[in-house]
Amino acid sequence: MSQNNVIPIEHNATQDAQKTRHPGLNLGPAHAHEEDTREEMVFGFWVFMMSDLIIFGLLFATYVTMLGGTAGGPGPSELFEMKSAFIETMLLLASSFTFGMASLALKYREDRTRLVFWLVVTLLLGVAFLFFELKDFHTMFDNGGVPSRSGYLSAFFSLVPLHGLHVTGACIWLVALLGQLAVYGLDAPVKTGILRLAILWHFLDIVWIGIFSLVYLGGLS
Amino acid sequence: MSARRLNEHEARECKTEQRSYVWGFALALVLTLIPFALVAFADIERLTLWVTIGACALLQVVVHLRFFMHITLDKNKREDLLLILFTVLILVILCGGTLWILFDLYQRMLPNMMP
Amino acid sequence: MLPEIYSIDAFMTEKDRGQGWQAPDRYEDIEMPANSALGVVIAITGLAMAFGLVWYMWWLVIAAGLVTLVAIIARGFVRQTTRTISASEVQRTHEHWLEQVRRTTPINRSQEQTTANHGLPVPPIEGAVQ
Repeated sequence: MSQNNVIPIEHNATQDAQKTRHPGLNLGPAHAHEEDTREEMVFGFWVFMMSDLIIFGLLFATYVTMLGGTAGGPGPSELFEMKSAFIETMLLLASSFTFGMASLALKYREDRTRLVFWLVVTLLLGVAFLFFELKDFHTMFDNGGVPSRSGYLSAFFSLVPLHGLHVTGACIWLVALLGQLAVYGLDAPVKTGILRLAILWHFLDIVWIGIFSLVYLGGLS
Repeated sequence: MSARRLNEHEARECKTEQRSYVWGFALALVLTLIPFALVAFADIERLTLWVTIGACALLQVVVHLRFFMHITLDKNKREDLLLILFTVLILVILCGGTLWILFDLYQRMLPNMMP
Repeated sequence: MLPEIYSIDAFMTEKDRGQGWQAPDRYEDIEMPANSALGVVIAITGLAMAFGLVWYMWWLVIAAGLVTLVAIIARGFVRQTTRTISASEVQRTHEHWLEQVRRTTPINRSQEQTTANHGLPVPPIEGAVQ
């Protein structure tokens, strides 16, 4: 019944995985059942992700307009350290790659051990990133860089910690998915959940590119 | 559930995709290292530096979209590409407008807000 | 049982032609979203969190946030997210409704404000005074 009002999607079983309709991480022909639900869910998640991108974009714009508003307080060159920014960047980039490996394990092998291994590695990298970021904020606080100090610092603390909050949320989601995986095995909701989380995770890495380029490198140069 | 055995076609495909991820990772790594190295070691003019950082960042975003999120120019992936491009258009209008208006105001009324 | 829409205000057109309230050729299962407590839980925790934020009651904010988080995670573990109304139940309900329509005396405009009005108008095709 509910199938009647869904716009029919051309579905050709002989199509290889490269030709499926949506990008992101295709499950491929071995997952015929999940493929149908995936189409709508993944596209919907893309739409959500893009609305998130608008929020981040505007916070970037706010940050740039507030660059001069330090009100005599500490500015970027006194607050940021290149080393920790570099470590955070590397951790997040590596986690994006390991998530890619997890997606491949899901797509081709349906191998639970391998999938869980890569997901746990990703989770650990994400947590390590959060640890370094919090340490960064702690150093900033010690140097007088608190959000209420100046308009510049308010803008900084609405942009960068929001990204950190997203990473925290993604980590919690990952743990919840691992729980679902343990209870239900690799069923359709778990698979589509991993696909959507992958989009979020890669997206957060893209936002981080903007942060390290504009906030950290721009501020330190 | 144990590992599924791959047929020849799938195994080849898996290899290709794995290589694509490695390529993406390598390219992203290079595009990250260039700006960091420039800021840390090179002594070049500020504007050139900023343009290079911006260019590397944009390229890296494209690399991530292409290799990690599989957004390509394929016909069957157009919807998502269009979605992304439309969002970017909105972003350019919103952010560009914000910067234009505010920096114009700073120039006229708040010269000490200019960074 | 899904209504077929072939014009603007299709049901109105049907009634105008005296063809409203027809039984379909066959009945099918209807898949509906299952009930979920998540909406109510988030409504309450959201209110609590907003209250806490306004009055600087941080313990309330944290508690509400935690409950929301746990509720969302728990929702992820629910696998029965749809409920199906069987074709026979759809048929029973719809036929009961049609029977009720058949038993109701249609009225025209002049009786609209009286107790004779049970919601069924005389279609214009049968010469109702409109």
